[in-house]
Amino acid sequence: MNHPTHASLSRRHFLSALGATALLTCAPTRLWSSSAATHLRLAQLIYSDGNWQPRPTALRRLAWELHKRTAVPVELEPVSTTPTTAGLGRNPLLFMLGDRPFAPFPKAHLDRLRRYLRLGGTLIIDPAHTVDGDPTGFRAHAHNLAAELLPDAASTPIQAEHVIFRSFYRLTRPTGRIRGPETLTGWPLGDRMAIISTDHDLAGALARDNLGNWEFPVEPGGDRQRENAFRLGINLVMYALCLDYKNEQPHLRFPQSPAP
Amino acid sequence: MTAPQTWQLVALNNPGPLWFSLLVVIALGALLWTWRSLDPGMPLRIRLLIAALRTLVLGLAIVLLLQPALRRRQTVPQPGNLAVLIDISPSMREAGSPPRLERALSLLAQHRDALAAQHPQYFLFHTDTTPVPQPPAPADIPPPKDGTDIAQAIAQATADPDITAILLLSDGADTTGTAPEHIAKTARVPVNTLLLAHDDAKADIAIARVRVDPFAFTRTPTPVQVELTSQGFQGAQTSVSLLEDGVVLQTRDVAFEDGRARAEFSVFPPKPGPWVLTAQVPVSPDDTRPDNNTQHIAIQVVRDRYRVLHLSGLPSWDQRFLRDAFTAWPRVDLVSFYVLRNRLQATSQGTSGLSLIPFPTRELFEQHLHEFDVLFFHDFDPQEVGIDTWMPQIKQFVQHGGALVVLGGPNGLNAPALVSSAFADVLPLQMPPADAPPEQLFDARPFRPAPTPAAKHHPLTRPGLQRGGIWHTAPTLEGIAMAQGTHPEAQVLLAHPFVRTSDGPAPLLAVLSVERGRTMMLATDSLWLTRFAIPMDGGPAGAFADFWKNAVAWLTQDPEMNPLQLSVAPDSPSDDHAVAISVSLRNAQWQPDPRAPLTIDIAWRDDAQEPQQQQLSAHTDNNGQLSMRWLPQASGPHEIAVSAANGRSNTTRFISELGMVERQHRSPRPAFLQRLAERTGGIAFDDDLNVDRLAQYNRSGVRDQITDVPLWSHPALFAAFFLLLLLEWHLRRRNGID
Repeated sequence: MNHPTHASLSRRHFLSALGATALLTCAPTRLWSSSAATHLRLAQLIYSDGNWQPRPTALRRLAWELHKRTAVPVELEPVSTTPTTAGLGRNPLLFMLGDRPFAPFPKAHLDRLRRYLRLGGTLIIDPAHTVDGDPTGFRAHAHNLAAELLPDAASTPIQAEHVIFRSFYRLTRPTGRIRGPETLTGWPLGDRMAIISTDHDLAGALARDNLGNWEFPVEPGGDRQRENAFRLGINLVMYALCLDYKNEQPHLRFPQSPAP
Repeated sequence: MTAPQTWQLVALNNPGPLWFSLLVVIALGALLWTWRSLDPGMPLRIRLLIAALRTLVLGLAIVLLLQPALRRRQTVPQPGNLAVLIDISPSMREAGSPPRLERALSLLAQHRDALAAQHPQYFLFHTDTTPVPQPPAPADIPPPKDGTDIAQAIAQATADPDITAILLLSDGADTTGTAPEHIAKTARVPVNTLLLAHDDAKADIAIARVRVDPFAFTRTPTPVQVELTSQGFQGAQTSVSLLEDGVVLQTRDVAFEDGRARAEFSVFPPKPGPWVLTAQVPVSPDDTRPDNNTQHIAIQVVRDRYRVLHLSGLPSWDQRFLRDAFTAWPRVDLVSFYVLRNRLQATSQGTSGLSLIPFPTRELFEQHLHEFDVLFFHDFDPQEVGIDTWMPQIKQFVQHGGALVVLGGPNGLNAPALVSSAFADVLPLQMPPADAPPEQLFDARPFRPAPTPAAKHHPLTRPGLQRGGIWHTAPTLEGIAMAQGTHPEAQVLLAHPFVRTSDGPAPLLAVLSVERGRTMMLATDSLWLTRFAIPMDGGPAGAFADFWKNAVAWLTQDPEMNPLQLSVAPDSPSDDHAVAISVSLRNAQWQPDPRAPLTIDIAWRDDAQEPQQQQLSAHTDNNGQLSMRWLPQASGPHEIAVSAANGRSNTTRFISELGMVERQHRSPRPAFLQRLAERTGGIAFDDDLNVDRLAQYNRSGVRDQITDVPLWSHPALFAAFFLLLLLEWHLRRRNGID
């Protein structure tokens, strides 16, 4: 079954989108009576000489799905930050999106991002496969940046056995708007992957406009592919929050058990 | 009896092989010279006769020079010097009817005159040996030490070279573990043994041995084996109990086979330090020796790793960085359960494709809870995962020595299961119920926590305050879950700088000691900012981990957290069971506290199980140390509490083995004495003494007698020598030879 696009909006999808919009409008941006520090804020990295925001609505949608599906207390509105923004330390999870090459980061930015990673921050790189972009060029620049940030860490493919693929949903491979390769790419720091790169246009699958329409079709297509993209997005966030929690012995003893 | 004798030809003047060879060469040279000096024209018969006479003369001269003699060697009996060793150890004095020692002294008195022929020298021994001129009367025997050392008694007696044999009067209950074969190797004289083992009291069930590793790890299954012996009971059954502080921990029923039985236990040491257990067997009416039905054991419990159970009600950065701190700390063994979706989400969304597992409530709280040291409720509502029904077990876990940390915002702290009156009395802060007005639940404004006066001295916060920890670097936290009260015995260590409750500043960090366990509440889930946000802006990165390490150490009552360190070295039977007590005291600034007065209270139960107590006063030295010796007055568990004037105190326990060594070695050992006698060539007597047989087999009382009968000084030899010379002279004259 084909997914509706912004070019062909059925009445049914319009109504569902309207309902979702109403929910979003009515829902408080913070659904727990606790501090801002408790809440996860999805943050996106701003950088120069490139397109840092090729999928502007994707993280908001991911935040909503996190709120809807998980117990993670999440700010529904993402934030954008540069490496030197004072509030970077409030956001230990950072997304870096782009669809074309970008200028090398100044040393001050590199130093701050390097400290960010070493203190426990996680950077997720997601090349956007846009029509007029150069995702291959972005990926190459982003991977060079990762190597500069963690010069002692060699990039490594993240196979389906990695805990990232079990951190909330059980997945067999990464999926985004495009099917992409069978693995993710990671740069380890200690026992965790500090930088994770997709090559699946994950944000493209998540992007949805205010009317509830998917902004970009998934290829080769199907509800299952888009759902798996959401699941991968949630798993990446859960991995940043829980690390290898799912590798603890009790979880390995119940590999097939359903959730309560 | 005729002594055997042997004869041997010897040379009294033995010049040695070199000189002897030289003499022979000279003699041969003289012969050759004689032969050559004779006129070849003479008849051969005459020349041969003269040469033969010269050969005989020279040979006889050599024999006279060597001074040959006949040596007679004869072994003749000598009067023996008998060392009589009398075992006066407690097993000899207390066991038997009449006591074994009385029987020994009676036998010696009975055979006193007969023994006198063997020049007896008397010795009394236990762990030491003392010579005495005569066997003493029972009333004059000095009190013995706790133990029996037969080897050293024999060694001391045979140090006198005139001692030719030993008579050992003992029950054979040596306490040193030395094998009789080993003693026999060093004993140079026969050891004759007299077994004293005719006890009238036979019916007895005893704890023969308790096998347990002297060291164990906290909350780790530790096997304990109790071995029993039975005599005088046919097919007896009994039960064995393990007790701690008089409270039965476990009981096993056992049946005896061939007089032996074994009970096996598995115990979980609750916390580091000395752990005193008591193995006990009920005393039956026929049991003639109830004193061996109880045995105390001390296990030195050490902590291998802190076992932490981290239950988080929601995935958050606070949970993530606490997990980071634990996983980076090799001493923590972490088990986590995070609620990744709430009950509403679970109900509405199904389970398709999820990797979540059911919360193993029963397995955790019924089977494994006692294996953990610290339980963390992190923004955790027990009701959310259905463990609110296990709150009594969790409360018991704390009361029995476990630790509980409740931290987070109102999502967890105001959970009904935690604010209920049944559980709130083990928590330091009393929180309002979740349905209270929001302004009474939470204040979201950023703040800088304010240490209370108690924080400056409390081991949990003092290091952080002194070393520039998270409270000194002035982190800004966000949001505090407001308490509505504080437990009367709780200590508030950090408070909100401007938010107040009816009792004063809103408490942020509070701790409470609950019976043998401890609890802690931290009313915020923004502490992770000190781990990430503050260091991102240049603050210290390690303060967060240091705080939690310190907290876990305090919560688990790590002995190293106490500024008053107390240790008691095990008592030694060789040192009158003196106990070495060592104290090290630090002041509020964690510096050695010199010349500080100390009060030492020692409590124990006497043989009648009546409580006894002794109080001592002492001072630390200039280095804040105290070392002293104390002599126990009874065996069994002792509790020693040391308190300083600055309020510091510490308590430990030890078991005095006073009298225990002999109590565990009361049974006579006939085989020990039998083997000792056999290996040394002595006689093993059983409860009676045959002095004539002892003298007959006293083979060391002999001496070799040597007599030499000279052969060279016989006149016939000299006559022959001169006769030969005269004969040769006559021949030479007759035949006209010069």
